[in-house]
Amino acid sequence: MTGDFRASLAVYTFVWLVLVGGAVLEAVFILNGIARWPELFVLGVSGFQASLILLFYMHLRDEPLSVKAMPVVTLLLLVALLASAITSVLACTPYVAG
Amino acid sequence: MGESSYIGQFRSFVWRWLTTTNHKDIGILYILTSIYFFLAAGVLGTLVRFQLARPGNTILTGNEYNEVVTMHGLFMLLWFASPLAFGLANYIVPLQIGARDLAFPRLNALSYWLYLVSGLIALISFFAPGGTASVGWTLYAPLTSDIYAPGKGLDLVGLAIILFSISVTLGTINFLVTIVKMRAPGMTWARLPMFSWTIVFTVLLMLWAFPTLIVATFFLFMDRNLGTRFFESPIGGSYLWAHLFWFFGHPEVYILLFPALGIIADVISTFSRRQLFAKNIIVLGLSLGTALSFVVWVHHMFITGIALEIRKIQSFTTAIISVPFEMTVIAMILTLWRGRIWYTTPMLFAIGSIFNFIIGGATGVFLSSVPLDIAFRGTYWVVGHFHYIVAGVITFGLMAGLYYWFPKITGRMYNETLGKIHFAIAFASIHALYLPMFFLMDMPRRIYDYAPEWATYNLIATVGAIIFGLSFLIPLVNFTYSLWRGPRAPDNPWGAYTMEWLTTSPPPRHNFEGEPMITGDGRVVFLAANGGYHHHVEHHTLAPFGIGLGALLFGLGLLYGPKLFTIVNLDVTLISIAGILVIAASLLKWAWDDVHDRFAIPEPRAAEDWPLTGVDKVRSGVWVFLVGDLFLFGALIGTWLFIRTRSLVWEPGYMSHDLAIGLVNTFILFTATYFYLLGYIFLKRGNTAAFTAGMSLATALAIAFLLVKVFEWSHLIEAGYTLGSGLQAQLYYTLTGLHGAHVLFGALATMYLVAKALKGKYTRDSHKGVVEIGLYWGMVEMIWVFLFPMFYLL
Amino acid sequence: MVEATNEIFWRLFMLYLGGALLLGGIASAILAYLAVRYRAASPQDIPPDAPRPGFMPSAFIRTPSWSKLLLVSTGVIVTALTLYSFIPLDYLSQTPIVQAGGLDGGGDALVVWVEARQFAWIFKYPQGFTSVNRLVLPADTVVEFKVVSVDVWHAFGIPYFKVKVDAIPGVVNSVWIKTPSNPGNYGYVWCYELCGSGHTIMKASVEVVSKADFEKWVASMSGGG
Repeated sequence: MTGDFRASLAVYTFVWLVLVGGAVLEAVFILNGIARWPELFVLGVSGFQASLILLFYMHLRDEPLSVKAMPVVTLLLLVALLASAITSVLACTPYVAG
Repeated sequence: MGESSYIGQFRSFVWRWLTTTNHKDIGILYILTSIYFFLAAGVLGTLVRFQLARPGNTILTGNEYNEVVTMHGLFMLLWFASPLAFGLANYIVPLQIGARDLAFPRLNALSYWLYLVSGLIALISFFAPGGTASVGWTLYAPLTSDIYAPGKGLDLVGLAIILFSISVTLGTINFLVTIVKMRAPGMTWARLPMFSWTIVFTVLLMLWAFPTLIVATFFLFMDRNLGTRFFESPIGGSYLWAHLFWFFGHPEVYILLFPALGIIADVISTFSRRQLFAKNIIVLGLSLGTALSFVVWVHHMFITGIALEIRKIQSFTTAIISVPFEMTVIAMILTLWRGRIWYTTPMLFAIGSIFNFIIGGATGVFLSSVPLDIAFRGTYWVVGHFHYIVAGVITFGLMAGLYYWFPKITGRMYNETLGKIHFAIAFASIHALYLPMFFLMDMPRRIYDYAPEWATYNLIATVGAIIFGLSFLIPLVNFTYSLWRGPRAPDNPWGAYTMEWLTTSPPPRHNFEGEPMITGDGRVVFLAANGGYHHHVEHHTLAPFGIGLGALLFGLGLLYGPKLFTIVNLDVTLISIAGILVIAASLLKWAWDDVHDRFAIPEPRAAEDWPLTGVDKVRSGVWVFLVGDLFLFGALIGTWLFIRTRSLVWEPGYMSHDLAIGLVNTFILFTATYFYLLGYIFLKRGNTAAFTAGMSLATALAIAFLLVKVFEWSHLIEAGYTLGSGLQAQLYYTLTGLHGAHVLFGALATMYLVAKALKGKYTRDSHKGVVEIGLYWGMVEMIWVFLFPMFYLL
Repeated sequence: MVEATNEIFWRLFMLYLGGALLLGGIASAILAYLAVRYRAASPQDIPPDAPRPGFMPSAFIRTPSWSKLLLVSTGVIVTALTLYSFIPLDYLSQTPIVQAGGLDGGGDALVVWVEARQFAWIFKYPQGFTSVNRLVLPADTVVEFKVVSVDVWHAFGIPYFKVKVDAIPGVVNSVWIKTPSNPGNYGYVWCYELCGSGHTIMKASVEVVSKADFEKWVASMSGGG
């Protein structure tokens, strides 16, 4: 029982192009200063690439809802952890022993 | 007759236990090992109480006292409570759901050996020069740095924790896939017993809690031995540990609690002759509690100075999360209503634990209020609260489970009178031990001497501790004696209705006579097993034990053995290398057995498997593993974000990486996976040769990726950019190093696929492993999609 | 009038204690009652609608509506208590209070820097001198402690005043108290976070003296230092 996934040459090739092209795009935009908030830009492009990998390379679109939920829950928990951790440091008063 | 047959019997006895993969055997191993750690940790705890009997005692002071306190906590929480729960779960859950074994029996054996070895390494740490870890079970940085806590003891404990976490993660995959996919037909979620339900919640918690512990402990090990400074950096180094640890630490307390709650619910249900009151609502409540448990960890950090808004939010979520547990207590109490209560020892422990839960839970509610927590943090109010839960609810619940399932597991009845005496003494003494602690709300934790006004309460607690500790001699004697001389137990001594009672005591190797099935009206029937379904096959393999042995050698090598070479501050010895070789050999044996299909288990014809319908066992297991691994990388990438956010610019030592190499390697990796997928397309069209070519190209490109990385690293190190060169460098090497290790394993796995293909094992319709390893490559690629811009562009 | 932190604590604590004893008491009483009332006459004494071996009951059973209310009642009370504690929490969180113009617009506050180290408490007064393991404070004054650590994680707490804050390397944390009007010894500062072998001996005496005596003490410390 190995799951009957849609293995389409066109789809795989499209994703490959987005991955390679996206990497080049990131390089060009960031190093030339075109992207005004580089971190957000990376989050957007890389996030989009990661979604394509999940949906098409890892066939998440053909999996039941329970499997689709797994990476989503993982991401939500990560956001919860990072939101608290990062804001906690931004809000505190630094001190250097002297 | 004679000597040789005794030796022969002994040898086959040892061989059976070293190579077993049967869930019942492994359950017994877990139970016995965890009882050992309970006794060891109990002795440590009693030593603490002896020291605290009077102010000014000198039995145990200074660092030795801290060592005892630390290891008492670690042994109890990690090496006793969860393993005992999972020992019972190993034995009982497959019976409760009508399965023959867990989904992945060899993985199950591996979980046990890794657990045992991790415990042994933790024990060995006592003998390290300088003693064992003395920094509290919470291991706060920077006390744990090699400056303030020198010596190999803490390193061994760190290694033990990592091995234990791996053991747990493997168990998570196993239990989740088993309970979802291997329930007998008719065993719907609505009919599932509470114990099995709580095990589901427990493993879901483990899946997302343990990765941050692994990351945090790994960082700690690197800080102490490889020159990094993850936790020592000013502004935030300590916070990084605290957040990573408590993100694990809070779900951990529910990981400890849930199985005990499940046992208590099953026991109360059986002995009051009623189903758990409002069971469907309680299950819903506990599932919400599971989800919420990931957003309350800040209540362990209320006085660390973090933003008021976050403290308020998590104070609120902490209050909300108490709701499912209050509901559970009420439901358990109301289950008695209109029942006919039979007071056996397990029932007494179950009811006693409800009373303890009322006290422990109520005192915990005080802690959810920030102004009260400010006063109670770090005091004995907290110690009293959590001991009421871990000793009063969890240990009592596990005791109830041991008494309840003793007849089923051993086939003998324990002595009921001794059991009741045990309960009476334990219940009375536990209050003498922990109730005084609430009156010690001013006394700091982890001190070995204290103010005179606290003396009376401490003395009462010590007397309670001695009695409580001694009371455990009773079940030791009871169980040991009954094992040999107890009256034979019937199939169902309690008249219980869950499925483990519908077979003999102990069950046969294949669990049930016939295939269990539950009809629409709830009747349990056993279909005759003829022809169609397989007869029971049990697999014996030494490979899991081998991996455990290798891990033990690796750990021992941290302390002993001729030094071969040094990486920064870490001495790599011959014994450690020997350990790695033993692990590699065992893994090869495992893969070899797979290539030759030695352990194939055919899927059952029919089973309840919602919500993973249509997803086979192996792919289900792979997704569970991937999600945990993704979370691990997420925590690492999150650390990068955390450090970068507070630094805003990198410290000196920052170096802009060569973009050309980055782009080349990115292209190589993306193309490697592309070829893998092309191979998959060809396989589905029946073209095995092209499939093999695609896999081989993918492997070759993966190796090329690694070679480029080695080239890049060697140039960086030559230029002076090493692990100790600042925060950016240590993040770079850690992240790309771990990613590279993943690529290496992926390449090896793909080579294994090529080997199987060349042996003709792969056809259009049968290609086990291709999709699964493809999923793994997808994850590896996803991570690189973020690592590339993080290190080469930002 | 600035409230004393210990009084804020005790009021809130008593409220929670009352709730806990009431709810816990009711639950325990019901538990005890049911445990006795529904005892079986013998192990064979089984109610007619009991689940029987050989049948797996479904969880979709009718739950009486009154019980659904009961199930959430304690949760509602607990949540209400927690939200209520936000009021004293906001009051206690008014730091740094000196910049805020003093509590309740009161003005003068004494700011003492507390340096936690393995294994002593170093108090640095604004007048420029240092006191080791001895905290002397004037009566009837708002005192703000700015707590830092020079080595590992410690926690600064004074049991009488029911205040506590972590001393984390690299960070300044702040906590305030209002000293009582009566001079005297008010116990000790203890360390509430495990910080090494000397964690137990990290103690500082807390003395409250009259304002006049405090001036004299300050003079002696500044001059002699």
